[in-house]
This record gives sequence, structure tokens and C-alpha cells, in this order.
Amino acid sequence: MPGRSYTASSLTYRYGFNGKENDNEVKGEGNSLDFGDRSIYDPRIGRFISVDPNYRSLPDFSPYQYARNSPIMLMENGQDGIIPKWLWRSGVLDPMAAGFVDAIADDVKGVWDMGKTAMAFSPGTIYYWTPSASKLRRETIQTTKTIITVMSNPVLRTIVLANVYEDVLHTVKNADAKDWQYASGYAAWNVLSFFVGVGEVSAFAKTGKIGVGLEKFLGILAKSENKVDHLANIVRRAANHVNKTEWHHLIPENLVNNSVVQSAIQEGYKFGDKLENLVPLEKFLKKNGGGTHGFAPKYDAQIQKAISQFEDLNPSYSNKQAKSFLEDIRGQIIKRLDENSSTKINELDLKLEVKKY
Amino acid sequence: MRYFKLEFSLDKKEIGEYPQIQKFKKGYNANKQESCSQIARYYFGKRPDVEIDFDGLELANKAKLTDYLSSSYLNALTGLLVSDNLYNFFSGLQMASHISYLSRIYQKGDLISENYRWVHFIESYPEIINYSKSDFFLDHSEVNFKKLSIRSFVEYKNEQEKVRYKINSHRLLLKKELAIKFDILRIGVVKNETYVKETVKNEMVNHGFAGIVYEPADYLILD
Repeated sequence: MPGRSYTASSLTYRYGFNGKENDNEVKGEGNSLDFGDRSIYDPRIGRFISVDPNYRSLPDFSPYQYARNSPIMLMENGQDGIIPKWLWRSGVLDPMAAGFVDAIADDVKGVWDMGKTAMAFSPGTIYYWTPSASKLRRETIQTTKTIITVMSNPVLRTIVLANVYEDVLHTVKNADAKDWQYASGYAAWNVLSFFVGVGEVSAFAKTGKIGVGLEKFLGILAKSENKVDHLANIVRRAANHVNKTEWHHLIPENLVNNSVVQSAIQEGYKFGDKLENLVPLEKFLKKNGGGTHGFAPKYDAQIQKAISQFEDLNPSYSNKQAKSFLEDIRGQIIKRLDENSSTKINELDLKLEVKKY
Repeated sequence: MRYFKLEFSLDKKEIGEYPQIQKFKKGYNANKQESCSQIARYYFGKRPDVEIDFDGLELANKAKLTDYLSSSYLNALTGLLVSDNLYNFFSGLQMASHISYLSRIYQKGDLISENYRWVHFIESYPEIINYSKSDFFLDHSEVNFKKLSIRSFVEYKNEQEKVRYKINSHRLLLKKELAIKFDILRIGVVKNETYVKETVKNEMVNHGFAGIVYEPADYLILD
């Protein structure tokens, strides 16, 4: 009540809002809280009294803001940054859970990274076929699973989004380069799926209509950088790509019973793996003659001949040699696909070369 | 005299699906020692020491039965999968040394023909080639398709053992007196495919054998 002052317990209890220590000497009782690195918080105005040391990464927010202006859901936790309150209340937060949130944010940044990660998912690049790209893909997929789990929680999603905000903008800005078109579309597709859900992104792909979640996400980006059109274009491109593509077996599926292929599989060649033997290609459409992927007996026959030649040159081949051979011709096929991206698969001269192992 | 290489037809209307044989009938153990998928292990000069089991070839669902059948697991460099009609035609001609296996063809689990044969070639004929008059090269871009000077089978054999790449030829001279003995030619070195004389090819066309494309092999020249 106005004019009344209750002091009995505050003399013994030092902590106030969000468990932070009261600094009652400065502005009177309960009006100033010590947040350590983030300085002093004034609960009367819901702001810090000094500038956020990370304000450069948060252009949308005031440098004095508290918990992204969401004090009901979120809280500041000193060096650990913002965290959801439920996590803090759970008792496992400090400092482990805050670190967990940071780690997830880093993971999202990693997935969104247009450099190596995108290349690792882009079969048209030479890097795609390197062991380090393969490792990166595996790690990214594992990370992605974690991210999806975390992102299913709306509070965590908000926090992680806030943490990767700058990276998303940066990527959108830099997604113009021609070489990255496919990769950026893929990354955009993936990351947007994390944020707004695969269903909504897929619906956008089919109908072109931006759903509520996507609109919100794009709206957030638009606030500061007005890149919504740019991102929408990337997504649309990715959507078109996904809609028109089908998975192409580099080593044809109909050769799975071939003894060389079987030997390679026994050695660990992942015949049905989307990252090793499958690449997305545009479907062939009879009505307009577009697309490259369809009935391709000439393609299959060229690979079968290469396999026969391998048997000819390596009559006592081992499983390991069979695997090396398939990896070799896979690389050659990718190169041809890359050089002749508009040629129909069936008309492609693969020029496969075989050697002894 | 011209030679023609026997190639599989890739015409969808004619074959339905490529390769026509892709799977084994249900219950066939492809990993057993006598599995037909291991036939390529018994290469030229190697006579299989076990009875190879050809009872289990499954025609792909959309594939059609033609006289010459393509398969994903039977290496065409070691033999031919042919109908009895075609095999009988071949039997009346001079053919390279071979053994044949009666083969049963199934489709969607049902037996649709037991009159097919796998013709497995067991001998090569290196003496047919006139090495000193032929041109040879290493068939790989890593060595810039290096030309080789080879004057005999021994030199060819030694060189082939040394290098990682196949020794190939754009101009292979054949000793006439030896080559003309074969209507169906399998040299087995340098070129491993099956060739037929032009006259034989014309007869085959007249018979209307299905599933075959005859590709001119003008690199084979009678000396």
C-alpha cells in the first residue's frame, strides 16, 4: 500500500526477482537487482540501467532490454544469457542448462552455416564426396534431430531463434551466389522446417501460400533487414526443387543383386543412402519434355559395362576393392552430372573409366 | 568382311525394362558357391568346378522375354543368356569354346520359360590378333590414353600385368586364316565382347531374334 513499508523479512532475505540479489542501497528496497555481468536491473521500468554487452547481435532490441522483452517466459541469467524460466525452475539450469541452450543455438548456427555444411549437402560439389563432408553430414543430421526435439518446445524455439537471428540474416544476405543456389535452398528449407515445421514449409511448397508460422518467421526477419522477399524466393526455389525432384540412384537400384555391388555393400557402401548413392534430380515430364530423370536404360547399361570391365581387370577382387571402384565411378558420374546438368540422364555419356585396384 | 558386336537392346518397347533380369526367384540363395551370380568369377580359361545353378532367374515385372536377355548380375563379358531358338541357331555355326547351362526364367514367381541357356565361354584366342600391326593404348585419362608398342601376346600379357589400366585398341588386326574359322567370335583378350560376321548378323536379322542390337565393330580388321 502507498506509504507503507514492510521490512521484516527483507532484512534477512537478500534475493528478489528471478533469484537475483537485491541492491537496496541504490534506489530503495526492491528497486535495483544485481545481475552480475549484465549490470543492474531496475524492475520498475523493466530495463537494465546499462547497455547489454551483446547489443550488437540484437539489432531488433533496445540495448537496455531485459530478456528479449518477454519477462514472463524468459529470464536473464548473467553470463549464460537468456533462458526460459521453466528451465530455471527445474533446478538443473544453472549453469548446465544455460550451456545446453547455448549449445543448441550453436548447432542451429552450424546447420545454417552456408559454408561447409551447405556444401556437404550439395552433391554437385567436389567437397560433397570427401570423407570430411560425409562426416559433417552425419553430424549435421544428428544435430538436426536434436534441434528438432528442442524446437518442438515453443519457448526454447524462441530463445534459439533469438540467438541465431544474426546468422540467419547474414545467410540470407549472402545466399545470392549462383553456386549456392541449390545449397542455400536446401539450407533454407531445412532451417525453416526447424522453425515453423516441415508441414508448413511443405504446404508452402505446394500452394505458394505462406502460413501463419512462416509469416511470423519472415516477419521477424523483415523487421530489421527487410529481407523477407529474398528469403521467400530462396524458400520458393527450394520448394520448387523439392516438388519436382526425385531421388536418383547413382549406382542403379536394379544392379543391387550384382556381385560387385553386393561386395561393395558388404564392405559398407551405402547403396540406399541419400547421402552416398542418391542425388536429387528433376523428374522427366513427358508432357513438356522438361526434367532429366526418367527411364534410363542407356545410363544403367554404361554402369553395368563399367562393372563388367572392373571384373575383367580385377578377376579376384576383394570387397574393399569393389567398394573403392563404386566410389570411383560414383565420383565420375557426379562430375558428368555436374557438367551436364540439363542433359537427360539417359542421354548422358558417362565416359566411365575403370582401373585395377 | 565386317564384324558386328552383339549388344543388348535398350528399346523400351522391345524389352519392357532394363536389365530384363534383375532379381532371383524367391528362395534362391544368391550367396551360395554355385550361385549363377558368381559366374563371372570363372573367367576365360576357367571352367567352373561346381555345377552352377541357373534355376532361379527372375524377369523384372515389366520386362519382356526376348531371345537375348540382359541381366544385372550375369557379366556379359563372360557369356550370353539366350533363348533355345537362338542357341540352336548358334549351334549350327562355328563358335568359340563354351559350356551351356539350362536356365529357367520366372516372372512374379511363376515359371515362364525353361528353354533358356547361359552360354559360358571358357577359352580365349589371343593368337588371332596380329599384334605388330595393331594399335594399342592405355584406356584411361590418368595416363592420357598413352599409346603402346606391343608386338606379341607375351608383350601384351606382361604389359597388362604391369599397368593399372586396360590395354585397348582402336585398330585390331586379326589373322585372317584363324579369324574366319569363327562365325561367332570371342577373342578374350583386348576385346572381350561377342562379335558376329556380317553374314551371320544378316541371318540373325532375318530370323528376327529379339533383344539384340548389332553394333558395327570396324576396329576389327582382317589382316
